Amino acid sequence: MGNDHIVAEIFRFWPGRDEASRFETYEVPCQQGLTVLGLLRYIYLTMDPTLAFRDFQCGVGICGTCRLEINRENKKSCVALLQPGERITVEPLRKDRVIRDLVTTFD
Amino acid sequence: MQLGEFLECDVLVVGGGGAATRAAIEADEQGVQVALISKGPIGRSGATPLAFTSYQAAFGHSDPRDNPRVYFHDTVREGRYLGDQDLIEAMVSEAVERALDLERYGVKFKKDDGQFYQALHPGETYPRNLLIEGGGYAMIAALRKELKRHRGIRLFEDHILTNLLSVDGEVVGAVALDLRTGCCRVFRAKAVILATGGYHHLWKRNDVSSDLAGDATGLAYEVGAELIDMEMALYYPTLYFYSEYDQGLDVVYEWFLEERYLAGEIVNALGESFLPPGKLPVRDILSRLIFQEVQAGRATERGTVFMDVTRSPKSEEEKAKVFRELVGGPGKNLLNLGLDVTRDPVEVAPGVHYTLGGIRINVHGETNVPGLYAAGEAASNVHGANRVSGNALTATQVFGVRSGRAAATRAKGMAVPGLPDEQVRGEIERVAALRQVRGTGVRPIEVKRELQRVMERYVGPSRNEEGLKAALAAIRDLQERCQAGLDVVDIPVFNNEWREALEIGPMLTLAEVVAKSALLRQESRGHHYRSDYPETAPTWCKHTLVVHRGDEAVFSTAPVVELGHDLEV
Repeated sequence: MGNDHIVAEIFRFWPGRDEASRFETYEVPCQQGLTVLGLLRYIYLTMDPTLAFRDFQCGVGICGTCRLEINRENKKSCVALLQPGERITVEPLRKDRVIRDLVTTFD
Repeated sequence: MQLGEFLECDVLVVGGGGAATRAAIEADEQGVQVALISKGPIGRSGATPLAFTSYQAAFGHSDPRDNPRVYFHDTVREGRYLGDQDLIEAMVSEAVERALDLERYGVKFKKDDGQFYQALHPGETYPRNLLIEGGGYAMIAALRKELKRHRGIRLFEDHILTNLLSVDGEVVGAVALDLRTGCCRVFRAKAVILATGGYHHLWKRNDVSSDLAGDATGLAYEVGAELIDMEMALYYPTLYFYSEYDQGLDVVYEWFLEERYLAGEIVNALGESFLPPGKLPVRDILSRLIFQEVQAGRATERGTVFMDVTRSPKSEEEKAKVFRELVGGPGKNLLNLGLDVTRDPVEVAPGVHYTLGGIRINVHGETNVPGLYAAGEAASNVHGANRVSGNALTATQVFGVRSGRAAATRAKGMAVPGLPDEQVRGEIERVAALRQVRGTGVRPIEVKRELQRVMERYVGPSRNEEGLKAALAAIRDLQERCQAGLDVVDIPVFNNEWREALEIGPMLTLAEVVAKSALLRQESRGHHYRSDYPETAPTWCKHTLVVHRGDEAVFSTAPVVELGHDLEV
């Protein structure tokens, strides 16, 4: 792993199917200006079509749909910029409401 | 696949934004049974949360000379005379009443001594834009609360419309896929209102949520709804993209380029300024100028140019002061770019901000298909070839109410229609069959991204016959690739790939219609620019129309609805 990569550990869980949640590790080449949401889209597009996350977003840090726990901090993933060489964990905010992986209900 | 649930309602509303929620509230208040399905959670999907703060209504508080008549004229003129005047008349007449409804629902508008504060935006004779505190996000939050107060309305969030059901040319219901469970819900309805927003995601560059793919509009077209002026997409000239995986952020170019703000320049990849001298161009013209730099090979390889304030004659101190004022107020998101905009050039490109074309409606929100209604950005053509700032939100409320009322009236006068059993069974089987890995190696997202590149390249802010024909050939190729079958991972619960497989068919259909409509309109008007027909032609002051008949797309034109008002004020 070089400085030009990001290592992302992403929360995976399918309630009712998986016995327990786990983290899956993805090594992603870091492009300039990649956000955490951009990283999820990159993983979905090129590495893992099974990753579930909410793709409908305002994209400008308003609606809060994209809020995730990034390195254990509540952040808006659409405006959270990554740095090359970074190692991050990505988890849903409310694990009791997980539909699958990073997707939760808002009810 | 589990069969899912059968439900019955009078009015089914599809969508989760300003028009859909307002239509559902109105229909419920008319005393009929209402259900609403939304592709994402209400307030967290669609275009309304993204809207700027503006709602246009001629209260005449900031300038007593303003009134609905002046508002009418402004909208007709700025739409380059392509908006249907009966729709505009409805909008300007009811904008005030609908704003007061919003206030009742808890939306806070900026006020001075109990009077609405009204801002002057380009294209308005007098200041007319009400400013919503918290913008579209606050507006949809209030509408969502109001919707929940109407306890009779059944809400189905995270549900994608997969098809409309029709019998003898009438819409009798719809099938939706519950993304959370992977089960289909079948709705029997006397009327269906589509308030599903625009078709921005046919293009690579846009500034909206990815649910705005136009798939519901494509489904309406397939059951016979007439589409109107589909070539009309409104561009915002200067969007900033974090990466190619992100949608664009609107970077207000006036702040970067105008004398009274940062007084910077806009330059191509060679560092050359390319604006004509004089007044800063309006949105459609600036979009075209940037795109022409791209076509001439003078942009970056990403198809972008730069707004650069290091070339400003202002001192660092002056610039820092302007910047502080901006981010303390309307320009808060400039802090999110990950750049120091007072030093770093900001890379920008035009993108689709609003789609002006859509499902053709009359003043009641009715389409040509009995039982099918449309409202908001999905409906057309209210605004014409260009939309004035603040009219998007106004149109959602006015036509939300009108379609909700008309659909309720229809529902009261009829029995619940029977369902076409075979159509229902066929649709559920089709949806289920999409979810499998066929080994073709073609994923829906790849088709979508290729489509978006094609549309960006050939059906952008500057079009010509050769490019549009190339687009059509490329779209046909993509349709053929899809016919071989798509690879979709076999997971029922919240499977983005399955959702995209449902969207891509209608998206391709719609893209073809957009390119053909652009080919048909042999002139330039508003946001539709043909480099081979650069002039606005008086003979083309008419709509392009398309309807699906048999297996064919039948194109025609129709006159703009005019009311004969004296347009000189």
